[in-house]
Amino acid sequence: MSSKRRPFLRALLRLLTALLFLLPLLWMLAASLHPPGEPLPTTLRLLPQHPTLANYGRIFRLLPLGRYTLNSLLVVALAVPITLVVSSWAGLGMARLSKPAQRRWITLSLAVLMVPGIALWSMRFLLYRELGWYDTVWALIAPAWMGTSPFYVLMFYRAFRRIPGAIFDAAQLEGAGVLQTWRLVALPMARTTAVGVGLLTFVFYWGDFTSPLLYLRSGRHATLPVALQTLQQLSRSDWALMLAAAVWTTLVPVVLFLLLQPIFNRRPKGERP
Amino acid sequence: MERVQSQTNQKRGAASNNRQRSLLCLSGCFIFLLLISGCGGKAPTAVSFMVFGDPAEYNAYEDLVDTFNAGHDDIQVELTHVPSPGEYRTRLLTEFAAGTPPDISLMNYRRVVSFAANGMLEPLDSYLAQSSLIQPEDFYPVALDAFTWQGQLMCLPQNISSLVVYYNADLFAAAGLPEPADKWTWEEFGQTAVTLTRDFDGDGTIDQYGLGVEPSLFRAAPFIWQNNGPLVDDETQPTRLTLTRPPSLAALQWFTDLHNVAHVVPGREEEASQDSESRFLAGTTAMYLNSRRGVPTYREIDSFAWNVAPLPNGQTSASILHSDGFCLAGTAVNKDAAWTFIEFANSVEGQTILAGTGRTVPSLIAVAQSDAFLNPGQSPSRAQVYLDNAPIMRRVPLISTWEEIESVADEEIERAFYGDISVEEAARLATQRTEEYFLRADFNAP
Amino acid sequence: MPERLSRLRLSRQDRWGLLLLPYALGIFVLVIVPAVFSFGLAFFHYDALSPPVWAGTLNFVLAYTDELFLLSVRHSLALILLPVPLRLFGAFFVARLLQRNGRFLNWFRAAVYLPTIVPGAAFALAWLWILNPLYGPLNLLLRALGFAPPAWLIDPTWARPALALMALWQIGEGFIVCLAALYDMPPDLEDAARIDGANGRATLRHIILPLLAPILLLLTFRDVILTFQETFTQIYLTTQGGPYYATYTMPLFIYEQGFDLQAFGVASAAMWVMYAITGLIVVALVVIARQWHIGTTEETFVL
Repeated sequence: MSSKRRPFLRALLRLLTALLFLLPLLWMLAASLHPPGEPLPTTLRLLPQHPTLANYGRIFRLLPLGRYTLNSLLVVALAVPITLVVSSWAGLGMARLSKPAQRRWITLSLAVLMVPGIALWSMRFLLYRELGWYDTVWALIAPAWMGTSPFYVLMFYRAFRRIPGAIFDAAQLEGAGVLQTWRLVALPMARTTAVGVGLLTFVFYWGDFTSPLLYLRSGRHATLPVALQTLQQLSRSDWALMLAAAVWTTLVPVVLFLLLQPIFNRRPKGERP
Repeated sequence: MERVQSQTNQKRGAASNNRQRSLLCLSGCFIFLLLISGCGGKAPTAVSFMVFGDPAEYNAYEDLVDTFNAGHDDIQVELTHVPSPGEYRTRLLTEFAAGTPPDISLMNYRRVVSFAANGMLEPLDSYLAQSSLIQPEDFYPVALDAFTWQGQLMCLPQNISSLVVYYNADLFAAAGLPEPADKWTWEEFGQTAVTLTRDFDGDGTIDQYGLGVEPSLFRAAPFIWQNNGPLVDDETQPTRLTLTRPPSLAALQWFTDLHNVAHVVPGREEEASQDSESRFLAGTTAMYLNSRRGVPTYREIDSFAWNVAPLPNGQTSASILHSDGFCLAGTAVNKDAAWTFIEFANSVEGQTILAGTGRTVPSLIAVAQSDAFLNPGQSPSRAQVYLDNAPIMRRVPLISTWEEIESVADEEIERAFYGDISVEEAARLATQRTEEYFLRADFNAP
Repeated sequence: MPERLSRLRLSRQDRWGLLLLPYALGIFVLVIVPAVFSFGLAFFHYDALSPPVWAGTLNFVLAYTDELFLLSVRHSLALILLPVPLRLFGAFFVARLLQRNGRFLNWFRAAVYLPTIVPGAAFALAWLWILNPLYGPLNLLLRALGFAPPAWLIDPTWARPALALMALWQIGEGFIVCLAALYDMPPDLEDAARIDGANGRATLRHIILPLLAPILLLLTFRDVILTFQETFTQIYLTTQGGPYYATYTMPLFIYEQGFDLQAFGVASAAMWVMYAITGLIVVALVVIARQWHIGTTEETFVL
């Protein structure tokens, strides 16, 4: 790991590592360009001989993928803001509590984190039924009302805890209420955390496979992971078709991530006032 | 609401003319009346209807529902589609358990019993008896029988499909083979498959397989029956699988030898890499065993000619029933409205619509024997093969845990098919492992 | 809203506490109540059709005597043993490699994180293709290199390693956390060690690892829970527990008992066991931590 003696070697190692991590995605993309109906490859080559976008047309003809995409967008458009508000409120509330109270909340949050998701499936099913949320978009975004995951609350808690108490006292002296302090003082100081939680939440809801599996009946609110499962069951061996749908599903989060990436790179996590 | 009122007020103010005012008043009254009458009971009764299947099948049911809704102002059928058969049962079970199942659901006869045994379905005998559109005699008896649970008709069958051989006629011609006759033997079948299994470039990998078949109990069953072997010890009150009996075992041995000895079927790796149905579609598998459900997809093939032949015969001839029925939930609020739709779907008109998609072999004898099904212009031209199967068709026993039994037996048969264990071992394990499901089952006691 | 809050005459402390209200309500309604009911069902016969009937500990006996249950426990544990340490070390060493100074560093980091944001279902399909025994790019590559590659997901001995391999690509979270922790380390510490004559390995062992221990512990803790409980999507979409139960794990057992066989009591009993095992692993980790005096101070307990 000596940084002075072998800079070239290290750069090469870094490049190879990056490529290694990108490889599955490249393979997925390349296979989606395979012409439909042609024999599967038997020799190693990255791109098919005659790459084509035909499979992308086929998935839209086979399934109402446009609607699924809009459904997915609606889910994240609702879930991400709700999660951000609930989890940052909770994080701020926790950070301003007395030390013993903080401890209790941390313990509670960790205990909740340990509850297996599968333990909640059937009971949540009955709950959503009672609330009239079954087979609606609300069943898909319900966890947003608890900040999606205690993990995100703890992330905000960690960020807010680093803000010196004097800043909050100053805000109080100037007459700012709790919500004003949250919006004008606390949130701007935890911007990176907020963007991070937002991205994680986006990825979580965008890729959520089990909620639509369990809490949706009709295709009306189905999201993109449902389309992937459908394709897998309909045409198990039409690889190019399935992978085209997989690429389509992956596209939005990847673009979003690449757009947001500069924010994380400013100074990862280390943000201090 | 307020905005609407203020708009009307504005309009009213602008209408200084008396005549205009009275006109507005009139139209207002009219709308009001419409609303009243709407609430008064003329709103169409909603009926929910849940189906499974691929997009082609979904389109068929959409056509059916649209035609029905267009002809019935008082009933509105809402179609729900669950694409994957795998999730369908779980989904239905969950919905029934939660107390709000779809009014009508489409179910395979192998799955119906677990619902019927729990009293979740409404028997249809009395409805059918009063129908002016359809009579029990109009249906193939074997199909009605498959949905009869403890003497009551639980669902109305829409089709009587069976297992047949789909074959690539071009590959037969290229190999200089005649197309399968209406009667052929296991030996001829095996020989044909061997001839059609080819390694064109001599590199040791097989480029074209003679046959594709899923290694499952449901696929092996007709061959067991053809060898006069039993599947279970008692057709109506089974207590265990009887795959270990010599004739059953011999049939299973022949079935697995297709892979282990003759090598005419793709191996496990080949099958996982590209399944046999895709190989058939790609023109690299000559024969593929399937029910009628593949036809809409196969009709899109334009690179080769294909057709259907009956299964080969062993000591006797037998095929296996594939049938789905329209089932009415016991909790449905508007049972009469729901029945109206079931009745329509299984009338000559309804079954003709479904037959037009190629997906079904109609359960109504009249439609099955009409051009709507036999359709001379469309592949497969030997559609009569499905109808010839009707007299020799058998079905699996009707017990509530049959699905579990099948899935356990499938695991063992698959292992024997790919040579992991012997057929004897598979038969023994399948019998042993399914015992508990027989113990737990509800039987079809009339 | 703020006006109403002040009218309630709450102390400032209480008003901060009110911010926790939606969260508290949320976890109460969406986690605590369902979990209590769900765990309670372990003592009843319940098929969702008829009312629950008291069953005592019979469901635990039923689960325990089910061969598939014991199999699923073994496989779940096996699926922790291999991937969790691999993922942890992977995350740490990649973070170390991409720690500082260099061209395109941001892009390299983005590349490492990218597979993590791929939706689970798409990721599973991609790997189904990559691990395709005959036509998949991985086996074509291995064959071109002169190996005789296994059939991965359809080979009982290779299915679990294949799942572990897949999991190695989604280590973005651990990577980011390690990277942040490395940043928080005083930068001159490493240089000082080097001046003192410590080589790379010694610096790593005596300076960096002890400093990062709490973070690594927390990551292990989280990864164990995730791998143990949430492997459902990947397995459901790739192997469905096969070939011949080689990847049959506890979430699959619970799903089948609950949603397929409507034996909610047995499913609940299995959840108890799952929770107990998770608890045991966590306690073991905490005990180890206490031994090493790491991660126990309030300051380092949460990230």
